Amino acid sequence: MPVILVIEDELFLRQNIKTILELKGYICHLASHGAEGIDVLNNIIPDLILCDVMMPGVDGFGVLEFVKSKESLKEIPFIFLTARADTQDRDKAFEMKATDYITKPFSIAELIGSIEKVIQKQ
Amino acid sequence: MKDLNYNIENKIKTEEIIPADKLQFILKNIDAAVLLESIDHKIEFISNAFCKLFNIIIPAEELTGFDSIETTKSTTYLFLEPDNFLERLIEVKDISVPILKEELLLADGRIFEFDYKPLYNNNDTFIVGHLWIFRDVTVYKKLENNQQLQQVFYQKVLNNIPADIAIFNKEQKYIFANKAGFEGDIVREWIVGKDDFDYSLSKNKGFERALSRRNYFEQALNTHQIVQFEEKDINERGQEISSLRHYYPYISKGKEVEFVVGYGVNISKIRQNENLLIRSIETYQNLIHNLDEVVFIVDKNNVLQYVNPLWEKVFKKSYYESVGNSINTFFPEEVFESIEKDLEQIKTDLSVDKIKSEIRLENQEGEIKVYNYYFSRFYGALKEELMVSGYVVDITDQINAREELLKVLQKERVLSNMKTVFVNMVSHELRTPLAIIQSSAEIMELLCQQETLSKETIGDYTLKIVDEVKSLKVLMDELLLVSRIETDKHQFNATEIDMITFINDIINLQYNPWKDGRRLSMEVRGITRNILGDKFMLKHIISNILDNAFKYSQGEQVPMVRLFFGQDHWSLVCRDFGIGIHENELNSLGTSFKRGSNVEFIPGTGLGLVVVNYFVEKHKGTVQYQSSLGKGTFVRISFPY
Repeated sequence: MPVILVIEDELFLRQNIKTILELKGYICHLASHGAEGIDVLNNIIPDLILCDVMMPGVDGFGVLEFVKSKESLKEIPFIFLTARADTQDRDKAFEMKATDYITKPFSIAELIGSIEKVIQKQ
Repeated sequence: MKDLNYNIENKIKTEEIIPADKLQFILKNIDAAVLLESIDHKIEFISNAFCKLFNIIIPAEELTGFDSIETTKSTTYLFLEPDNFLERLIEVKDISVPILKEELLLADGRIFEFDYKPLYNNNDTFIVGHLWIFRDVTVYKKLENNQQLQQVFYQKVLNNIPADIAIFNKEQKYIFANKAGFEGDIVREWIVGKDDFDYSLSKNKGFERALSRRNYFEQALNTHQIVQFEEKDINERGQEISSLRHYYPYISKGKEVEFVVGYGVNISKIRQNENLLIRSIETYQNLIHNLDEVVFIVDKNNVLQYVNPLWEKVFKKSYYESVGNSINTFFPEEVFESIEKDLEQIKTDLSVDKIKSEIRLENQEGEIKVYNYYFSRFYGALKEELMVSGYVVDITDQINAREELLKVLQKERVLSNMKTVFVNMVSHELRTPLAIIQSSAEIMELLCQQETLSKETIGDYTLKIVDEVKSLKVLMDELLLVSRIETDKHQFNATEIDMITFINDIINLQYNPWKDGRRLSMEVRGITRNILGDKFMLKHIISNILDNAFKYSQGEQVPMVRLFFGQDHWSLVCRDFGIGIHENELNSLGTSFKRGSNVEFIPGTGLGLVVVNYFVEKHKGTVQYQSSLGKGTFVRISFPY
């Protein structure tokens, strides 16, 4: 089963995403902020990263930058899941080679559709 | 002519004494054209000159005894009106009254004059003959005519000269006055032989003008020099008329004053222009004197030639202490170096019209002022010497205003950035609860479809949804409050409050216990009393301060709260043992959307203290913060009774 790393600072949302992904047949790893996410990436190599943008400490862009800087990680699809809806952030995300940019609130169909575009369930 | 007549009469009477032949000879050769005829028109004597005058070719001595009328007839062709001439001669003889200098016009333009005298017998009882004497007076008449023409010409010229001209005798009586001097021929004729006193009298005016003129006139008489003086008058339109008058004594060959020519020229326009010029110079001087900038002029050697009054204020030296000195003595050495360079350039570099620069000087009060100075080159009016005008303008206020404006702009920029941050944050704060609500609902739907939805799960997700709706409501309320504050719509409703009960109610409802189980209690000091305040505002203030104290001190000991009643004020002090606030962020506390840099996971909108500050201000109270990073924060709110 594909492994997805979810980095989200809001506890309830983090839990809900985990539930959704598991119901849809994915293995889910969780991190509550950017630094924690990077820590996880040092231990596992997920098939996809789902990451918030606004977080204390290392934000979503910081995480993406780290991922793209690592030879072993740079090919991992990276989807932003964010409350920041302005086009400047969206443009910045795609400039940094993010795979997709989903704005909150989102539907399950929207989230799963975006994930399935880039990884096939085993 | 009288003499000649007398001689002829005498000749007749003295015939016996002088031999007749001698007498004849004398008369014939006399220069006058003489004809003597008897009562019956026989020529008794005719002079050679007569024959010559009337072109009679028969010699004079042969004409004796000829009929005088016939002889005269042969000469009538010479006259302009021949018939009239003859008739007149006959008429004269008939009347037999002596005639002198009667004029006759000849066809060729000449003019003759004749005298006629009837001759009586020795007893003077009857006429025995007629004596005619003719003269060609053409030359004299022409001369006389010329003189008359010239007189008319000069009078015309004098009358038309745009200056009043008069000629006086030595007693200052008018001999002549032109039209510019006196209007109307009657007055001009009247004034001849009179003086200015007569004129003043006729006009019922005082003698001041006449007396003044008399003084100048006598000066001209005594000095034999032209005397010039100015007179002012008011014309019928009320305008001031200025005349420049002169008395010009005409000195004869005997070095005596023969007459005095007086003339006056209207110089009103010149005076008006002079006055305008003086006024414009005064205006410019006033302008320069009242300018808000220092004005000075230096010559080519940088020596001051002029300074305006503002100079003294800036350079602490008066006009008299400054003019005549080199300009470099007035500027500090470090400043003068650049000024000297600029002065040199404006004097030598003709491609530059103006040089502008900036200097800083200390004023009399010891303040540092910023000045703009600029130099321009010009040439002195009299000697055409190169001069430089300098202007020094105090631009301290401008500079301050510019800096102030930059600060405002900077503030605006910061505010604008902060608003962007806020909008993003609000967006985040709204979108995240909505995402939780939506995902919770959809999870329940998914579980329902899979028929795995338990009552417990429904309870968990419903609670999540309700919690998120609550936090959305708080955010909405806070935003609404800020919006009301910004438009100053929030009303202040004062009521009497028992503060101990009021605060304890808040504590018991929200902080006894707080979410994490910590329990708050309040200490009261001073003589308790009820206060006047707005309950809504005070509740918001106290809740916010206590919320912050708990929120930012999770895992630490419970915050301490003390209510104090003083003489003229009451205060609430709250001390927590939390994360604290960075020292340089204390000043920006209570600024919209601004949050501490160390808040990390702790939720908040950055609006709470904005509202607190506003509500405290409405109570005329004060808020004080003291904090130490990592050790905690101390907040004191104080209100007058």
